[in-house]
Amino acid sequence: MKAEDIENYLFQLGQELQKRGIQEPVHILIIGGAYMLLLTNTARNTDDIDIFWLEEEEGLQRALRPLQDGVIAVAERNQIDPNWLNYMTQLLMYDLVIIPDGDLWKAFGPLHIYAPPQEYILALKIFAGREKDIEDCKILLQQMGIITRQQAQVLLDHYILPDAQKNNTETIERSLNILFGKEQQLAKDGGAEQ
Amino acid sequence: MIANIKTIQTMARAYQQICAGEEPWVALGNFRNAWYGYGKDDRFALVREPVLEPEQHTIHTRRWAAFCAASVDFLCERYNVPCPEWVHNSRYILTAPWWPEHARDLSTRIQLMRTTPQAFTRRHIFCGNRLYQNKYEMSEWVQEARARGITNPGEIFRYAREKEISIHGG
Repeated sequence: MKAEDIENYLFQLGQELQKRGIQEPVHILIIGGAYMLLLTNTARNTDDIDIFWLEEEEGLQRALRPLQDGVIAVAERNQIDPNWLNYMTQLLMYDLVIIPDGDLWKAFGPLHIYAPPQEYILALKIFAGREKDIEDCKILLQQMGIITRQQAQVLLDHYILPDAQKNNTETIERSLNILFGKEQQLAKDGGAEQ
Repeated sequence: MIANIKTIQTMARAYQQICAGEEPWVALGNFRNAWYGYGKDDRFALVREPVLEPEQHTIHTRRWAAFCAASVDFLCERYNVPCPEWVHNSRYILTAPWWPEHARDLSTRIQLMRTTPQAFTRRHIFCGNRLYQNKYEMSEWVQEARARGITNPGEIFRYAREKEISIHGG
């Protein structure tokens, strides 16, 4: 999926929601590879559009079925994966991270797409720690001018809940070690013991 | 046809008991006994009736209603029983996912996401794939292994597990 495909599919989804009688705005936050493509101008493809819901329970309950049906209709029309709009990350992380409101990026009919700050995406990607996340982290670090492990830790502390950091220490440490080097941390630990 | 439909453990009855304070695994365990045991000749009768949610619902009643719907969806598909329409109501899709207490790290959750049957993940329940293991079938497979001349307990277990994986995927 390229940047223009993403916008095209979201536009179609907005139309599908309208067809299904949705008038109240449905708010979603764009994250993951789609965010990298659309909002950091990174030259890469993505398999799907990762999102977080910004709806409260009642709104989500109301919008969920029309959204799921709309997503399938767009998938069938364009012959793409029915999971092209993917909220698995939210299911995985919903009680582990802060979800910011973000800024309105674009509206396609009732479908309102919000974008979080770059620092949020960086924190999520350090937390997730897969190979492709690390590659994206390198781009984000450069764009944001973040050069130290401590700066990155501040972002983690802001967006990743303390218990989640504690229960996922290994992954986070691994990400930080790759991005900022292990030696620096070892030296810091050694220094703290003295 | 099941003789005493009023006394057998249907899914609706199990849910009613859960809402009344019964331990969910006891109520659902009794349902499972009906499904695999004494009620297996008319399984549709065990799941036809929808679960009735209390007027004052809580996270507990919402979650277990979704779990009951997912269970019916899962079991009907697996055992070629017609699936009742009520399980497809979107009210049985949880707005907040339900993870087991121990699943606090991402790798455990990713593993559960991979192994949980779709009937549950579609409703945002991530419980793994061993909830409806069938001890009745297990017992049959153990006997089958013995009939094939396998005597080593470890090999008998392996034979039964392989049968289980081939049929239930886990």
